[in-house]
Amino acid sequence: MFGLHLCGDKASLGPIPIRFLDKLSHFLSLHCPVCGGSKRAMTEFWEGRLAAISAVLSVITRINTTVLALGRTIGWIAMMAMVAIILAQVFFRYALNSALPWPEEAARALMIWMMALVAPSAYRWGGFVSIDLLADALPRMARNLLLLAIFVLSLIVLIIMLGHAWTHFSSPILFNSSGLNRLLQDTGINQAFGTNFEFRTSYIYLAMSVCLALMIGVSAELILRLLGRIAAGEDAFPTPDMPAAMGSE
Amino acid sequence: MLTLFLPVFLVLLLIGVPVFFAMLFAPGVMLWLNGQERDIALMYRNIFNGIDNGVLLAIPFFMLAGELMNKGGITERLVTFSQAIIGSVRGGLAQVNILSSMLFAGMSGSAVADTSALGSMLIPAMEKEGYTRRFAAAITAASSVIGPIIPPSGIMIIYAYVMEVSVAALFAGGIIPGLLVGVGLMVVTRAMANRYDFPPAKRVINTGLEIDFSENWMARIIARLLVFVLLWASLRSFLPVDGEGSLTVVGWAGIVALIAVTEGIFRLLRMIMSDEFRIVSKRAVLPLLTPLIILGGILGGVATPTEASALAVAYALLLGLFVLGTLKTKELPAIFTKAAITSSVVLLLVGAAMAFKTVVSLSYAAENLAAWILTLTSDPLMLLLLINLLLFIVGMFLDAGPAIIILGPILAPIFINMGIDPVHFAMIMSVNLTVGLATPPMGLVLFVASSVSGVKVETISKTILPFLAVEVFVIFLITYFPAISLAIPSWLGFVQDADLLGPILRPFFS
Repeated sequence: MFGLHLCGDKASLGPIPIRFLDKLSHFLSLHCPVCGGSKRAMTEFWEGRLAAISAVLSVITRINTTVLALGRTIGWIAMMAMVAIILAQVFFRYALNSALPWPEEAARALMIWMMALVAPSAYRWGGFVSIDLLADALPRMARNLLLLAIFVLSLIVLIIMLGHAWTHFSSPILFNSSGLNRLLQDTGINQAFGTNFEFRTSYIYLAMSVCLALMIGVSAELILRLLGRIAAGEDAFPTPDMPAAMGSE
Repeated sequence: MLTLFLPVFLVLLLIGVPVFFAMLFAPGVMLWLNGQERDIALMYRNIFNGIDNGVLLAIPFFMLAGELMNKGGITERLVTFSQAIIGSVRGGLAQVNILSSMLFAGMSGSAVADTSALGSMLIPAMEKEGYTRRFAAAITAASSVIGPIIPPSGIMIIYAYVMEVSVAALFAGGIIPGLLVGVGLMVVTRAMANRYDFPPAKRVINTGLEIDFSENWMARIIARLLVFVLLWASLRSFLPVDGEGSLTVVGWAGIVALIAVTEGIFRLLRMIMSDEFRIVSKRAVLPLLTPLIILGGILGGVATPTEASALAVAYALLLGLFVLGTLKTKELPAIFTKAAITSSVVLLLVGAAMAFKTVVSLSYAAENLAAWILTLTSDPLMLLLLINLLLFIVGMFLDAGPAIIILGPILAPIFINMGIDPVHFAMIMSVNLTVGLATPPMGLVLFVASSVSGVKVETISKTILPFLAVEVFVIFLITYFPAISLAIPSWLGFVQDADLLGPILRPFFS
């Protein structure tokens, strides 16, 4: 369908080694659909699937890379703000002897948003704790199938959680966030800009939905990449480079 | 029926499902099969409410503080200081490694940070002095488990939060066990030094060190202030006061005398110490103030753990950016990002743990398990032995944080019902699972030590065995002599009416 040569050197799928496909086509004694030659040929079926995976994967990867990088940037700024806010709390309580009503709530809200925006990066680069002994001990194919099952199971958990998170966020009982609204009142932002803005606790609930949606995006990427590897060999579809901040250690 | 979520969870964990997903999937599926969809919604709420708590801010903050200290050249100062103190005995650099770990433990709450910070400095240095590389890697890994035992400690914050114990009590409880592990390692190293003929190290290796003007003066003032406060606190009751409680003239004269004594002590030290030793010590004063800020703040009841951790971050930034100048502003985003990513995983796990805990209590899993365990044996000595075995095995395969999160809600109620103090049990769990970080085959710290040193994990695993033996011995001491964990917390009033004697000493004293 893409007019692909799939006989190794002429493979137009880019840098995808096709070891597994080679073996398969050799087994089925098929031939390359374009040049008709060699034992390294492929079926239209595999070619179509691989090309589709490759196309979708590259789009998802690109989206994830951009969105997660943005998330990490917001994440570290939020972290800085959290520290500053708690220090302000300490300063007002001990130095000025007047406890502020909003810092705890603000820092908590920032922490949850920070977690929401940064955790998907951890998931993408294998930062979630697991016991990998079994996977490491299995032969390549069995290992990939096991990983696929784990990724799918995780995706199911994420999707169900997203459903609950969204219900939580959009539930009709919306509370005003008292501490943060005091902050708005005290600073007089609404008066200054003539706006009528107020904080609601659901703005914090929203973080979980965003987090889960991002993680579902990462899941999709992980699953597609694994499928691609199952079809085209271990070196196909390399994992994107880890950000420098996660690298050392 | 619902109790079956435990075996399902175990299977998922063993085939390699990430802990976070396994903790939600196993109970979720069993609830669904039981037709308890409503409780699944409850699980989600508990995840969210579990994360939505100000106490947890301490987790990212302590990680950040450790990261900042590590990058800010503070490690190097601690190591040179340890060298000046203990470097001259046989096996000196090995002892320095252990002492540095103990000092570093007072600032960071993570064994991994400890291994990578000290390992990258000390492993090459030890090799240069004639130690084998694998021995250097093994001692680094073995001593880094002190990091999460001596406060501040990431896993203790998690434990305290999930199990509703006071963070301050756990921090106070960790001090003696941490020192014990350190001393135990030092003793073994000393014994090995005789047998294997370790090289001695020079007392002060870095002689060309300098200290700049502002740091010099700050160190001088702070060191004097600390000694003065110490003298004042211990002699305060002797100073005469008038009827309104303020000092009399004689009292003020006493204060002046104390100041003079303080200055005298420093003059004396100046005469005794060599110049190099003085500079090395002065360079360590400002970094070593960190544990005082953290512990003093939390244990003295002045600051909450969250506030203390934020202060630690501020202090590390201040030192690194302005006083020592070892940190560059442009390095900050990467450091903050790293701390954010590491802590986000922990936060999600804490949330999952709170949901897991709900199902543990819905299913009466802890009660059923307790009943089953009691059919095996009801002898507390045996039970504690069994639990330590279980924890040790789990620690071999699982990181300490997740292990605590999973096992805490299941095991702690069983033992607390048997009359073991919650803080004591927390120490048994924390120390055992932390030592698990350095046990093969899956010890996280072993992998870090391996990547820092370039020695294979298998090789480090063999060399580390004598050190692990000491650590296991300390675990037993902690288990059977509750006073080790409870002395400081009960002295500070965090723990009341605790049984300090424990099962072994009690027969002799009653």
